[in-house]
Formats: sequence, C-alpha cells, structure tokens
Amino acid sequence: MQATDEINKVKQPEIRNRMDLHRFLEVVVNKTYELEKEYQRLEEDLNMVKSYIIESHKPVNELTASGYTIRVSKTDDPTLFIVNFKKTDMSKFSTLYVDVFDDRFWTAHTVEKSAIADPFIGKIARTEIKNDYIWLPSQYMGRFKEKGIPRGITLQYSEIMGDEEEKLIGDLSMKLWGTASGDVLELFRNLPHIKALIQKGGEEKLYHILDVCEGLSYSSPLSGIGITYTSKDDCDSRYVLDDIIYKGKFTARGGNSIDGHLYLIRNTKEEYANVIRYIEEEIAMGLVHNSPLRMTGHPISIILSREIEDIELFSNELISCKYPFRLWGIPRYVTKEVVAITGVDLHTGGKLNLELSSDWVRLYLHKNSCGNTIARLYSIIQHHYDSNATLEGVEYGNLF
Amino acid sequence: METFSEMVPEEKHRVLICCMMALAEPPGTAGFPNPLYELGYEIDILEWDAVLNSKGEVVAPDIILTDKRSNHSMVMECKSSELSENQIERYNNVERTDLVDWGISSDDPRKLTHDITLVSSYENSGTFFNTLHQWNCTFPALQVGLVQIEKIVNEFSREELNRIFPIRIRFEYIPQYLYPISRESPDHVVMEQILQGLLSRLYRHESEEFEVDLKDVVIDTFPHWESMGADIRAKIMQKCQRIIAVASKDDVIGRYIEYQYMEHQSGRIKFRIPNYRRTNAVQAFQRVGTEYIGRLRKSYVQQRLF
Repeated sequence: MQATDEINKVKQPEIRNRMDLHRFLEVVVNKTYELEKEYQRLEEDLNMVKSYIIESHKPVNELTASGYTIRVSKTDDPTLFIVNFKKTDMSKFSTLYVDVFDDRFWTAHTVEKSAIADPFIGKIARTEIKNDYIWLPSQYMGRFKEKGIPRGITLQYSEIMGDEEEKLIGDLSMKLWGTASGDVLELFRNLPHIKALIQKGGEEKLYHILDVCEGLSYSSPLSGIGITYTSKDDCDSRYVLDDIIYKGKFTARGGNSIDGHLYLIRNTKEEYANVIRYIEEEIAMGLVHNSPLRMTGHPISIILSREIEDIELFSNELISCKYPFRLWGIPRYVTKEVVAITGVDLHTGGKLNLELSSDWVRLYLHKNSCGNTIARLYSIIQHHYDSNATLEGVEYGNLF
Repeated sequence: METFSEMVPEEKHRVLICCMMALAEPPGTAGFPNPLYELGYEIDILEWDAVLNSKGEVVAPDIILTDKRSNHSMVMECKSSELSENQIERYNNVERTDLVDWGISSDDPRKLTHDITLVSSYENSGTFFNTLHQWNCTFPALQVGLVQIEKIVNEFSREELNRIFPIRIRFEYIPQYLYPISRESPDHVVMEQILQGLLSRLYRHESEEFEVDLKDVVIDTFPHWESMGADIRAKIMQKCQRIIAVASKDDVIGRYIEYQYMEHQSGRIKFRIPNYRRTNAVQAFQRVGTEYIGRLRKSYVQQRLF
C-alpha cells in the first residue's frame, strides 16, 4: 500500500510559475497509470491530473460559487492563478491551478479527486452567471478518434423532454472499452434501418424490442472518449492516456507525457474557441448602421432526426429556466406545430430567439450574445433528446 | 398568436418582408427555401424611411436584394394594402444611378440592372392584380400564398429569376425573427421585445434591480433606430411611453416595472426581480410576462375584429 498512500497524499508543492506546474503535473501523470494498473482503482479514488476548460466572461478574482469559500492567489506568472476552494461547512481547502492565458477560455488543472473537483466546477458552470462549461457536440467528440488511438467511449443520455409515455429510453449510460467500441456505437445508430428490415419480415413480437432499438439510435450521444495520444514522430514513445468528457474535462489516466495531455487541451480549446468566435462574428444577428442599413448574421438550425410530437411540452421544457437549458422565454404559437420564442439565455443574459417545429429548432442569436449559447443548446439536445441532431447553417463544412 | 388575417396591415407587411428576406438567407433557416441566395442575392437594404428617384420623387423600398456578380438588384415593395398609380409611377422613375446613389454596390455598378418587384399576400391578391392591370404596371409581381410563392404577372429581366417560381413554402414556416419588430408593430410585439431587453440587461448587470432611461430600452428594442427619421422616432417613443406606463400600472407586471415619466425626456424605468438568481423567481417573471403579453394580444385581436 505504500505506493497508493504516496499518491493519495500527493503533496501539493508551491507553484510559482508554469514550470513548477508542469513538473508537478508530470510527476502525477507518471505515477497514476502504474497505480491504476496495480490496484485496479477507479478514477474517483485517485488523484489523477484533471483539467477542465471553463468559459468565463469575468476575471478570475471575481470567481464565486454559492456554498463555497474561494481564495484566489497570484503566482509569478500573471496568467496563472491558484484557486483554493472548500465547501462552506468543510475545513479543508482543495486546489485548482487556473491558466487564464486565454482570458475567456480558462484551463483549470487539479489533482484533487473527481468527487471534490467535479462538483465545484459544476457549481461554477451550472449556476454562476457568465461562467459555463464548453460543450463539445457528439460529432466533435467523435473526431478525437483521429487524434489518438481510441480506448473506449462513454454514452450518457437522460431524456428530459416529452412526457413519460413518450420516453422509451429514459436514462441511459454506458461505457464501452476496446477498439470495437466505435463499431458498437455505429451499430446503435443504424438500428432504425435494422428495424425496418426486420419489420418487413412481420415479426410482431419483436416490435417492442425494435422500438427500443430505434430509441437507442437517438439516445447514444458520444459523451466521453478515451484515447491514447502519442506525440507525432516521437522516438522516445511518449504517450498519455486521456479521457475526455464532452463538457471539457480531460483526465490523464497515466503515461509519460504531460505534454500530450496539455496539447490535447490546447488544441481542443483553440478549435472550440474558433467556432464560438465564428458564431459570434458571422452568425449572430445585428444591423450595421452605416448607410445603407444592412443586416449581419443569419439564423442557424438544429435539425432533428426524432420528431417532436408535442411542441408545447417541448417548448415548456426548453424555457423552464432550469438547468440544463436555463432559457427564459415568452412563447408565441404561430400554429399548433410552430412556436416562436423570444428568449434570454440565463447563463449570460444574452438574447436568443427560437422557432420550433417538429423537425427543427431555428436559433437567432443576437449580436453581442455569447456563441457558447448555441453550442450548449445543441449539445444538450443531443444528450437529452436526440443524439443524431445536427447543426446546420454554414455554407461549407460543419461548425463542429 | 394572431393569424395572418387578424394582423394589422403593417404587421402583415413585416411578415412579407421576412418572407422575402428568407429567400435570400444563407443556409440555416431550416424549413424555408432560399433560391434567391442560391442565385447569388444578398439582403442589401432593409426598410428605409425614404430615398429619391431620378426625378427627385420619394420612394421607400422595403428591401433590396442584390446579386453583385450578376449586377442585378431586386427592389422590393411589399404591399399589404392598395397600390396607387402614383406609387407605380415613382418606381418607374427609379434608375440605375439612383441605386448607386442609395449605396447599392455590385461588381460593376455601370452594368447594374434592376427589377422593381411587387409582393402581396394571398389575402389581397384579387385587388392587387386588378390594380396592376388597371395601371398597366409592368413590374413583376409575386404573391405569397399558404403553400407557394407565385409570380402572378410580368417577367423579370433576369431569366434565371423567372425560372425559380413557383417556390414551394409553408406560410407558417416564414422565419419571423429575421425582422422581429417594425415601427408599426402592435403593443404585444413591442412589449415582448421590451421584456426580453429588460431581463437581458438585468442578467448582464448581475443585480436584482436597475434603472435605465426608456430611450436606451427603445434603442435596444429597435435596432434600426439610427436610420429612422425624427418623426418616426418621436412616434415610436410615444408608443413605448404609453406601453410602459400602462404596464407599470398593471397589478401583476407592474410589480416588476416602475416608470417615471419626465417631460421632454423619455422617462426612466426601474426594473426589479427580487432574488433573480433563483429559478422560481425568474420562472414567476416568465409566467407573468407571458400572461401579460397574452392579454395585450387578446385585446389587440378583439380590436381588430370589432
């Protein structure tokens, strides 16, 4: 048990700059894999390196989270901060190292256990205004397979829209490990075709099972993926085992390269930030006041593969003001099948208008509103209603 | 929401503008076709006060769509009421140089051509058609119906345009937030936008109350404020003052909004949602807002009917 005790009591060194942080994280990554292999321990029990990408529209010294006491300290590097936090009723502080080099998309590194760090990050992202997770849609998550060798995938689905009778799947969560995991996911997504083929054979008793199979096709968002990332052309075989969750959490499960872990984060952050900025600059709608008066931006649409049967119910859930959507809105029913919502994103106060039909959700983001609103709404619909939903609205290629 | 036939003419006018805009929108407006965008047209100008034609007469096109590569513009006039001979005459006197003066740019402005395009809805197509005939109007005219947009008379000078009609649509899928509010929008549409603006401001300020000049709220609500003439601005301001004054005296929505009228100024709004960060507080504001808008809408529809 000596080694386990050693990592469980990771001594948090004094971090004065990025070099100190790099050294510290590297030591932890190197130890983690051996321990996990040896003792088959779960992530919650280990002090692995975990990094969270957080979107913030505030400076780090204004960080708050209800129910927590937070202390922010500077390091010698003006873009690196140490955030100590504890639940108000607890005595022990835990630590995050917050990199604000990108002052909007921060990276918070920690070696605290998930049971401590996840709720704190969740509190900031879910309830604080102007702070949010990043929301990597299923399609983007799938492309991590191209960045490293896939080790496994996680599907997490929780149906929150539609009445109870409509819910065929409800909640679903599963981890698939091994190289065939991608094929299994592909199988899920093709189940409606399989259903159609079997139906042609007229096997009545299989219909319910087939319905469940069809349900699986829209209940299988790619929520997490584990990859082995190896640095390109590296003769020293430097690698890192990283698990990535769609809300921007990266867990280094071991390896010998913290650089690989940091590269994955930086690369994701840059790609994500580029999309968000594109949404804000090219898609968010406004008017240019130079004469003549011109409009800028255009709507963007989420195309559903699963029809909305009760628009009113769906719309009420969308604008319930509650997590995960946190949208406020005044609905106008154009017809029974179309509703227009004049809305506000309660994460940021940004204006967002929507139109819903049974097959699509049109989004009209106002100029100066946050582009992350679009990514969040899209990703949440994938995780709570239709994992095959796609985002359309650019002429060439895809946004994510 | 009121049906199209229950709308005031000006609101119908806004819906027709949205319909024409949508035809030239980039992909992203699901459920509605965009053949004009595919031909290369972009929305160049949106609802002006007025501009001058080659004879110095006033015209006020609702929207101008231009394909810069083909040097062609569609100067659109959406009609929800009758068309006069005088209006046709004024549009007849619109020339290429007028468009250039209005700020329309194309790859080669010397080669810029245009078609005045008249647009009506299925409701007034009979009278509309008769008027065109009566005044020997040669402009191509479109009619927006429940399931298609038809070219009902005359030809466009650009042949590709003649070929895209009829365009299949679903009337209820017209994207109405492309141009969500016009200067003539009814009270419930204006109030909806004002409530959205106030809540947005509250969350951006991160405080449970704030004070603001009504003028700032109005500018926020009417993004094309800058391009409006003084008379129109004054009318809109009066309308918003009335709407807010009535709301502030309402038993329910008045709990959130206080309004202090000030002579020669727009007046000042105090907006407040106690415990705004609590879900139930903002849900309550949503319920009250929706109910209030519903009442305004109902009274508007009744006024239209009787």
